Amino acid sequence: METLNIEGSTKTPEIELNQESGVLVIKGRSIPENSVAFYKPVIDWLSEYESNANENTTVNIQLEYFNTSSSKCILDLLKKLEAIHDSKSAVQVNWHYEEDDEDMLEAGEDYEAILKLPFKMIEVKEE
Amino acid sequence: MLEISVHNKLQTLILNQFESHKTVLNKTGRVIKYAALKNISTSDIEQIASTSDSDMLLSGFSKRGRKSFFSCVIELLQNLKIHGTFTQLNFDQQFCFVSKSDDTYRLDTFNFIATEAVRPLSNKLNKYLNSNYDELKAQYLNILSEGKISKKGGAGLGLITLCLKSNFNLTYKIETINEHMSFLMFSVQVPSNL
Repeated sequence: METLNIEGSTKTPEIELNQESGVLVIKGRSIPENSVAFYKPVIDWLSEYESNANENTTVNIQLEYFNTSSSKCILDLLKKLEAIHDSKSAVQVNWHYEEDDEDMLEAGEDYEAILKLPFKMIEVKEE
Repeated sequence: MLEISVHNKLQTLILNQFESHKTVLNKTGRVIKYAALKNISTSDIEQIASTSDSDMLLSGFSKRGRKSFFSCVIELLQNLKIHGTFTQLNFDQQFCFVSKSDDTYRLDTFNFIATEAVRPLSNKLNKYLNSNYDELKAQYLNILSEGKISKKGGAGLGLITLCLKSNFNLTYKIETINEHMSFLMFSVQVPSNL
């Protein structure tokens, strides 16, 4: 299964989804107008990953900003991972937030409250 | 003749709103960016957001305030792009200001909406503005977990996010022009000590 790499831009995050290592990375800004189109390859990749999942899956999410349509798409992809966690792989979500960014910490806690997935909140220094 | 009369009426209304507002903002603070547009584009949104963000960085605005205001700019302008209605008349129909007075950044937008959309929008905004933080946060989580993305690409969370990110410093005014067209004036403010 091929690794999915999407380069980041001023409006969209860098994405790297690697089946072999089981490490999934989403990093940067996510403010596209058409979030559904942007996240479609990610959702498609996760659908394929569901039947080829690594024994352990680590999801590293580090977002600076995200708009409301991205918030829904991020939930959708986390729901995919929740299904994988239930059946195929031990999924761990590492939610990174910059120090003092209480809103981004709260956003991670919102997802943790909605989903049945293990979350780890990780404070990082501002880049 | 009718078209010219409608054109003149609307253009006068908009320009009056625009000029009087610009004057008030210049008296009470500093206008950082204003844009008069026929149809706001993706690059307009990006430019307005980055200009205001850079200004906030330079002025040493609080990090939380800066991030909240950036979110408000993105949500409000993307809402305007997705949901704004246009007349067929050929003049600038959308206006946007970013301004700063004292320790507060403010975004004002002016645009047309369909008159039939006025009541649903007002009902929704009044409901949100009459909620407290916990009530609105509960509605946010409910829509996030249960809602679907609309055909236009909205998640139904934009207005709630504007209320939450601005700590309810949001006002709006609607002028009905005729049975088809109304004019929406929206203002959101983010203080430094948010």
